[in-house]
Amino acid sequence: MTAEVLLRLTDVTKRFGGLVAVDDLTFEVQRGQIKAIIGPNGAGKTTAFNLITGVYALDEGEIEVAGKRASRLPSHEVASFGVARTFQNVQLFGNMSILENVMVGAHTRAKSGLLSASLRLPAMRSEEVALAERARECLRLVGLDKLAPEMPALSLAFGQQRLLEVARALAAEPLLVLLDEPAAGLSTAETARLGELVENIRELGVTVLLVDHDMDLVMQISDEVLVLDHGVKIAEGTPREVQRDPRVIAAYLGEEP
Amino acid sequence: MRVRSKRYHQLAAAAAAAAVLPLVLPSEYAIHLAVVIGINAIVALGLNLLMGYAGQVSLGQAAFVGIGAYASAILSVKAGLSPWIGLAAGAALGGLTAAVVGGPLLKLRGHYLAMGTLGFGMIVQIVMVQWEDLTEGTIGVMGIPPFSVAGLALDSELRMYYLVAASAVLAIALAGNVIDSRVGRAMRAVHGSEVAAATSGVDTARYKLQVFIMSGAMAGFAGSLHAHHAAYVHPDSFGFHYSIQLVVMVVLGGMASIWGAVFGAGAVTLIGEQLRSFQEFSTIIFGAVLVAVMVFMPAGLWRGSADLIGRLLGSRGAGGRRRA
Repeated sequence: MTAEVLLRLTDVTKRFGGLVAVDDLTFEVQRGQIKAIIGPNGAGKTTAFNLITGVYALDEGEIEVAGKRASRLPSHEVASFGVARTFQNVQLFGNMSILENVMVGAHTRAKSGLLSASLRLPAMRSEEVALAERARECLRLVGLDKLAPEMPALSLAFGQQRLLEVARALAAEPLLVLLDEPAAGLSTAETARLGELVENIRELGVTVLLVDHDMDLVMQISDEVLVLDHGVKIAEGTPREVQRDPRVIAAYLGEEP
Repeated sequence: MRVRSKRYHQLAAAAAAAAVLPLVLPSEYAIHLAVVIGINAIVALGLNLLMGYAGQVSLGQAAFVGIGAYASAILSVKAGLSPWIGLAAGAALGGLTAAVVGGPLLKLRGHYLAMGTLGFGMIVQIVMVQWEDLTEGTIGVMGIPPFSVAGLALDSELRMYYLVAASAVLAIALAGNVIDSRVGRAMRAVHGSEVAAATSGVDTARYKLQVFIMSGAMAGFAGSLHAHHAAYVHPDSFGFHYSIQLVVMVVLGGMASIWGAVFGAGAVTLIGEQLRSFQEFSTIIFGAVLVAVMVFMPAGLWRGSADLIGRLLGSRGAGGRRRA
C-alpha cells in the first residue's frame, strides 16, 4: 500500500451553540484503506461525516481531499472531488425507482442538460444508456440485481435500502466512500455480507471510511480505527492497539480516565 | 426503456384524441372550454414539474401567465408586432422573470417559499394595475389580434383549438422528456432528499432554478395563448384566485403525474365554469375541494379514483399503477 493521503482533516472544529460537537480533530485516511470511526453516541462521528461532505460548514480547520481543499465548499462540489456517502437515517429518493436512485448517484459522471433532455438529443440518449448500465452494475455489486429495477425504492426491506444507498454511492465511481452506520438494523447474516461487500469495495480501488457500532465488524475489516469521545480524538491505531487503549475502555465503560 | 415507448404511445393516442375531439363537442362554447383547458394544462404541466416533481411550491404562478399575456398584448396592440413574436416574447419574459426572482425566492423552503411566491404574485398584479401607461391599468388591454397562419387568422374557436391542442401535446412531450432524464432525476432527487441529492453531486440550487424558469416560461407561453384567444387582458385574471386554481389543478390531478396535471386542468376549468355564479365563494369551494382531495385522495383524483375503482372491483393488485 502506498502511503498516499486521500483525506486529511486538520484541526477541524464544529460548534452547535455552546456544544463543541467536533473538537480540534486531526486525522488522515490513506488511499486504499478501510478506516473506521467509533465512539459512544453523541461522540461527533456523524458530524464529522457531515463536515467532510459539506453538509455542515466547519467553524475552524481545513479538510483536504486528494490534495484539494474541500472545506467551505458546498456538498455537490465536494462530491465532484470523488467523495460519496451513505446516511445513518437512510436518505433514499422515495419518489423514484431503484434504478433511478442509483442513476442519481452517477450524476457527476454525466453532463447532459435541460436542452438536450427536452429534445432527447442522440448524445443524451447514449449517455442515458451508459448511466443505466453503470447503475445496474452497481446494483449487481451490492446484490440487488435480482429485484425489478423499476420498483419504487421505498418498497425495499430496510436492509436492502441500506444496500441501495451503497450502490448509489458507488455509482459516482468515488475515490472515497463514507458509510454511516451501514450495519445498523441489519441481521447477523446481513452484517457478515456487508463486511464482505466493504472489502469488495476496497478491491475496486475505493477507499472506505465508516462509522459503526458493530465492534465485531469494525475490528474485523478495518485497517485503522479512530475513537472519538465528546468530539475529541482519544485514540487512533490498528484495531488491536485501540482495543487495548485504557482511554478507549474508559470511554466505553464510563469511567473517568 | 419499455416505459419510454409506452409514454410515446400514450402521447400519440392523446394527439389523435385531441385531433378528433372538436368533431364530438356539441357547441362552439364547448370548443371554447377545450381551448381554456388546453391553456391551463400547459401552465399546470409547468407547475407540476416545479411542485410535483421538484417539490417547490408556488402560490404565484398566475403572475407568470399574466406576464406572458401582457407581453403579447402590448407587443401586438401597441407595437403592432406579430402575435407570434408576442408568443416567443411571452415565454421568454416568463422564463426571464423566473430567473430573476428565482434566485432569492428559491432560497426559501416550505411555507416560506409559499409566502414568498404569494408576495411575488401580488406585486406583479399591482404592477399590472398601476403601470397604466403600459398596461392601461384596470381597463386592461383590448383588441388583441388573433394569431394567423399563412394569412389565415385563428379567429374562430376551432382554429384556435388546434393551435392550443398542438401546444399542449408538445408541452406534455417536453415535460415527459425532462422528467425522464439526468436533469429530471436531479430535480426529483431534490424533492426526495435534498441532502442526499447534494452529496450525490447535484447542484440543488441550480436545478431548482432551472425548473422554476421552465415553469415560468411555460406559464408565459400559455399566457400569450390566452391573450390572443380572449382578445383582451385584465389584471383580475392573473391574481391569487387563479394561482390557487393552478395549485388545485396539480393537486387534484395528482402530484408528479403528467396526465394528472392535464386531467386536473380539465376538472378545475369545468368546475370553475359551474361555480361562476358563486363569484368570490368559488375560492372557498376550491379551498374545500383542495382540502378534501389532500385528506381522502393524497395521490390525486386521477390515481385516487383508479384505485377506488380497482378496490370496488375487488382486484387488489390494481395498486400497481404508480407512475402515470
